[in-house]
Amino acid sequence: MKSDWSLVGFTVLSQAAVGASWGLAASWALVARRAGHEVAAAATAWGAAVPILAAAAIAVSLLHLERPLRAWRAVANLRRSWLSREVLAASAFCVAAATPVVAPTAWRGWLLLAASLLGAPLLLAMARTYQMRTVPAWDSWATGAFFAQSALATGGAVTALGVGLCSPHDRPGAALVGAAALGAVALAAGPLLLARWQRALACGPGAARAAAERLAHAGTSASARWVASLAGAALLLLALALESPARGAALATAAALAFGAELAGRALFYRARVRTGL
Amino acid sequence: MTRLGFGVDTSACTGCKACQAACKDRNGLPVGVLWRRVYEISGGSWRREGEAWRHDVWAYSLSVSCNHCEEPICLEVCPSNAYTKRDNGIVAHDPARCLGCGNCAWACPYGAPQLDPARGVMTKCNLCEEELAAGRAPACVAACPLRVLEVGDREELAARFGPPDMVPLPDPGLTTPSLRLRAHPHAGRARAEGGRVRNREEVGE
Amino acid sequence: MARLRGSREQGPVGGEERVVRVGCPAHNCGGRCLLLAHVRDGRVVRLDADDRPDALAAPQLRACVRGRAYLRRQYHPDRLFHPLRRVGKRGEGQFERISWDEAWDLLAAGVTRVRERHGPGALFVPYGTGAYNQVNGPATARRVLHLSGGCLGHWNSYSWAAINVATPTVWGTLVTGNQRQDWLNSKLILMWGWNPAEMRDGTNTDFFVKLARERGTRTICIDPRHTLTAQALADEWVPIRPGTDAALMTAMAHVIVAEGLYDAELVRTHCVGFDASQMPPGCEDEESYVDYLFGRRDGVPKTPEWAEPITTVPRDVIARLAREYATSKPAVLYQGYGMQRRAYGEQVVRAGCVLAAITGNFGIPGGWASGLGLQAPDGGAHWTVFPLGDNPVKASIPVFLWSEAVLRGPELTASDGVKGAERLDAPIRGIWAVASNCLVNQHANVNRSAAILADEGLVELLVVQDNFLTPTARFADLVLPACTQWETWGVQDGWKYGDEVILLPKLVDPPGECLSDYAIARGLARRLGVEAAYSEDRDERGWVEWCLDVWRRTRFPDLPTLDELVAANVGVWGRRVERPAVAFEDFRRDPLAHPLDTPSGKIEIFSKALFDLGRPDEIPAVPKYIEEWESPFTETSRRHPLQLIGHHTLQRVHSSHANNDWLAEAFPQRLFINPLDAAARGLEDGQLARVFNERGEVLARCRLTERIMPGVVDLPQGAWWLPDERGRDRGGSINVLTSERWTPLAKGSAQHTAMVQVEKVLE
Ligand SMILES: Nc1nc2c(c(=O)[nH]1)N[C@H]1C(S)=C(S)[C@@H](COP(=O)(O)OP(=O)(O)OC[C@H]3O[C@@H](n4cnc5c(=O)[nH]c(N)nc54)[C@H](O)[C@@H]3O)O[C@H]1N2
Ligand SMILES: Nc1nc2c(c(=O)[nH]1)N[C@H]1C(S)=C(S)[C@@H](COP(=O)(O)OP(=O)(O)OC[C@H]3O[C@@H](n4cnc5c(=O)[nH]c(N)nc54)[C@H](O)[C@@H]3O)O[C@H]1N2
Ligand code: SF4
Ligand code: SF4
Ligand code: SF4
Ligand code: SF4
Ligand code: SF4
Ligand SMILES: [Mo]
Repeated sequence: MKSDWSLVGFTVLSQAAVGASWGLAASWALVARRAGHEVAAAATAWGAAVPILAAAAIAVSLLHLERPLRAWRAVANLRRSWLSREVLAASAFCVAAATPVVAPTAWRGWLLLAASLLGAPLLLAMARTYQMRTVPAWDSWATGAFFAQSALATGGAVTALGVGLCSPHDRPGAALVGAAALGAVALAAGPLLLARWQRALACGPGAARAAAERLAHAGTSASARWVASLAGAALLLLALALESPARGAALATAAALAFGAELAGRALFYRARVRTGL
Repeated sequence: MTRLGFGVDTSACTGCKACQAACKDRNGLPVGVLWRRVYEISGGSWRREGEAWRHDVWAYSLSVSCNHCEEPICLEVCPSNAYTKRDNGIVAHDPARCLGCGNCAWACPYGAPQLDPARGVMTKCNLCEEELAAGRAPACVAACPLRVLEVGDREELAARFGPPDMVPLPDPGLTTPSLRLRAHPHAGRARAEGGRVRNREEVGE
Repeated sequence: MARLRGSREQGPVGGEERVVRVGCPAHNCGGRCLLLAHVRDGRVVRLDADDRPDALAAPQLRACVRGRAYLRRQYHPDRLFHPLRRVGKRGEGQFERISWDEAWDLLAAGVTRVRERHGPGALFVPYGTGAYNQVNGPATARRVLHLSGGCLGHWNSYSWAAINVATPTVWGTLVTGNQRQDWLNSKLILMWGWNPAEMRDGTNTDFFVKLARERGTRTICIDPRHTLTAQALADEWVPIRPGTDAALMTAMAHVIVAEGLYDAELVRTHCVGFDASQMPPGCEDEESYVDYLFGRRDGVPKTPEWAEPITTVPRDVIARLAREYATSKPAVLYQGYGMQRRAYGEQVVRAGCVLAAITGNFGIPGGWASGLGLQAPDGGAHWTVFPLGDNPVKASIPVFLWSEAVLRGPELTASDGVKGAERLDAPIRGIWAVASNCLVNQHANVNRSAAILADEGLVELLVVQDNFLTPTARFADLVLPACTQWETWGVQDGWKYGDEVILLPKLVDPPGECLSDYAIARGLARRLGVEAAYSEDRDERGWVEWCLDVWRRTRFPDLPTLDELVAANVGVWGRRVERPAVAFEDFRRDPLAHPLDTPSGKIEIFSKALFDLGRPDEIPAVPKYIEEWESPFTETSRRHPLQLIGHHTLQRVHSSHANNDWLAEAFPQRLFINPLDAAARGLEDGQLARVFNERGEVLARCRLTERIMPGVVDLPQGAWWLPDERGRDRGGSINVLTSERWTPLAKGSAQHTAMVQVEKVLE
């Protein structure tokens, strides 16, 4: 159990991977499945980002272990441990997301879609891992909500960036508009969720109140989260009005801000880890 | 089948920490690792009355290790299956299986699992299984100079001791600990006044 | 011999492991306990608890946290391994390694030189309580000096100076206590400045109090600190301003007498000096105790209203305490020793004894005569059995006055407590400190002691023999590495109480070049040509056998031989206490046939002997409350408004274990301060504070706790002095702040009397 940062990284990156898989798969499935269409090309090309994010997440998570060489044992308690299930789900998702990259072009879209479906159980297992009954701040609706919100925010931003870079037209297409809008809404929702959660904690039991107290004194992380979220959301929407190459730059910046915002938010989430009892 | 647990008469526990040190010696624990910890809970106030002082100060100590819970959350959350619930109630931990992920330490509401930084594995009280097997009491129990710390059958202890619900212990419903307490006379004060652990630095965070 | 069998056999358990029942090394720790040492490959690897049957008449001797953490001392990396010679200035701590031959040569030459220059009375083996195991410790050094020409002696102790001297002024003896099992017969125990949960006061004392409470005994703890005793063994805690206990006792006596709650008949038959009717011959017109109580001479009646502003104990509480104590018969008024390690420590002792006397609580089961309270019938444990040999130098000083003997030796006379001679022949010029950190760390006013020792023109020879390079050892010219008590043979009986002999068989070989204190002293004896007389051809084990003989003659006629004890691996041999002895039973029954050992043969509420000293202001003939020289009532308290005490903490045995990491983890050294006092100084829990007065300055982290009364701070005594470059102590050593001034009658330590100021330090 090394520092929490590795898990902050793991959760945000893997949620981004899930979100990106959703965004890209959706744009492929809903907007253009036709070979040669730029959106389809973007989706399948940028589909490579998904396994990269997922693998990076897993790699970062190993930094958390005191004995990383034993990491393979982490799936030994599927019967009871949500952490075991999370590890399994993360590995499965990562492998599934990697298959399109090596598959023939024609299969890529379908494989990406399939992988994206595996994102849901991963998010579920992840949320359940943290919803421990002895950590009231985490044992809450907010955990699942945060994780889904993060996935949509970072996933939306990554999708928008991918589609945006692959379709350098003046008028943004439906995929780009959809991804950017979704990302922006999710990003902006982050701080609002946080505020609601914090208010709920403040009227919870002792350990929840202590968590609220810690959040109230979080200072820079909290403000970073606000600023980055709102700036990222605004930039995503602004990008739609810009022309390339400014649009690409705006989307890239927005994606970076989205990651920053979610990392800061996740740091706050960890900060709230106050256990009941001793 | 006997299901083992601890009983503590907190009304006469001095907080002397002989149990804590005996445990460290028995198990070769480094500084910073305390399988048994002694919490000080105290409070009260002072009032000047002319030249005199009046007070209502109170305090008690609580010696806590792993409680070998009936619903051990450590075992539920551990991904590597390092925990085993034995028939005699002992929740055993096998460091050879441990990844050092820390999940059990996050979950256990008694702070029982503690990381041994040198070995990079979690460690915790095993109820001195070897001593019990040899027909002897656990080191901490044998050590207690006040003879207030006992080991025994959960049910039998329950007949003589009260529930493990003194401040600052968590709701026993969370894990159903095999711990029974004779409450200190000031237990009620602690509950009413929101008693706090006052020796945080001595018990680790 | 049935009792000789322990429930676990000695011998290999799991391979090469031996399990040996052994006494916890006999430091001056307040107890004497048994441990089961697991020894493997020449190393003690584990310690288990006493596993003998546990019975009220012969309870197990369960070790405290210090015994359980002993291996962290035994195998501490900083142990001394070789003899060292100083190369820097005194106190700098610069040494070079030398051989034992060189070390003994230097020691012998130094001893001879001091004797030649100043006479044998200039040599001194100071108080040092690190080893009471008979063959390790200062007794071994005293013996060789005695046999080779002599050295200055000392009397009394740092522990019990005032109580040792004051108790017999009332009772004629120190054996004023019952065997402890008798507490179970008490209705009420006033635990006055008494903290057995932390200072033990004999292994199992806290346990006996617990058992008494289970039988319905009510207990009240009177202490400025809400101690571990107050938390677990008391029904009520009465905080009292330190140094004012005699006022509380006096006011209680006032209530008891005014309300007729005292035992008038017993007072008439057993006491002198209670009132004008029973003053000793020649003192008929002097102030009796009742005169004092009712203010007939000084115009001040010693009522609860009088005592309230002095003690801060509310008047109604004082009156209730008085009534409870006088009417709950039988009752124990047990006096701890901390409150007599104070300015007028003698008074509080005498006042307590008088309360016990007038309420008729002596000579009966469940009662307690107060005072030192060594156990009936024989006084209990012996401290030193090992023979010291005849000392040709007859003069001895009160142990606390060693620094005075260094500074102005020949000026010291009987009025300074010199015994055995009119005055000293010479100042102390050679010191050989064995098992003692009492020159620097444990004596009062560290900065003063350090300056005295740093002056090579005063103490010309300074040898320190220890397990560690202590603050005292840092000043030595020669540092000698002693082995621990598990690396040689030893034996002990109780700490104050106890009815057993505990063996310390040698468990392992000493590391490096460490030698036993006995072997070191014997080496000097060889150099000085007295080895045969010194050793009588015995090694350490032989002397243990010799000591057993002494106990066989004095306390335990049935004591088996050493061989038998060792073969049975029992570790301890005890005598069951089925019917606890009660002090003064005979005297109570028939005071004329069994008079006390006082001049009058009775309980001396008024002491003619004290009266004759002619110092009524400081040594009154009846016990009185006397305002301390440093107190919240004195002028200097404006600069230094807080009273400083330093309790005997479970982290250490005085300064022994000061470097034990498990104990520092369990009980970190902190300045305990009431939140009200802390708030007035902007101090928060855990912050660094500067604690200072005109004698020095200590930097210590503070612990805010309601468990100490406002106006008082507690810095547990014994932490090692670690001065920084500005002379501020960073180790938390209380004696940087204490005063070397001694009590008037016993000439003893008053180290608990000190005033300080506390300020926040900006880190
Ligand atoms: N853990 C531990 N135990 C020890 C020792 C040790 O170093 N560590 N040393 C042993 C030795 S050698 C000795 S001599 C004894 C000493 O035993 P004591 O002298 O009895 O011990 P202290 O802690 O000095 O004082 C006992 C109590 O008196 C309180 N006190 C201080 N001043 C006053 C006062 O003015 N009035 C009242 N009513 N109470 C006061 C203190 O708060 C403390 O709780 O302990 C022995 N036991
Ligand atoms: N302010 C303040 N000061 C006090 C007191 C107080 O209450 N307040 N209490 C006083 C009292 S009651 C006492 S008894 C004194 C105690 O004062 P000391 O007698 O000096 O006791 P320690 O500080 O334990 O020092 C004993 C030394 O012996 C060493 N030692 C241990 N075992 C052995 C051995 O086998 N051989 C050798 N050669 N060395 C060994 C230890 O390492 C340690 O350095 O302190 C007194 N000082
Ligand atoms: S040894 Fe006994 S009295 Fe001491 S702290 Fe532990 S449980 Fe309490
Ligand atoms: S106390 Fe904690 S570690 Fe022990 S069994 Fe219960 S949940 Fe598990
Ligand atoms: S730290 Fe070890 S024992 Fe604890 S949950 Fe992780 S793998 Fe299991
Ligand atoms: S039972 Fe053994 S391992 Fe558990 S706390 Fe007691 S001494 Fe330590
Ligand atoms: S009281 Fe003394 S002899 Fe007993 S264990 Fe503690 S330090 Fe050792
Ligand atoms: Mo002492």
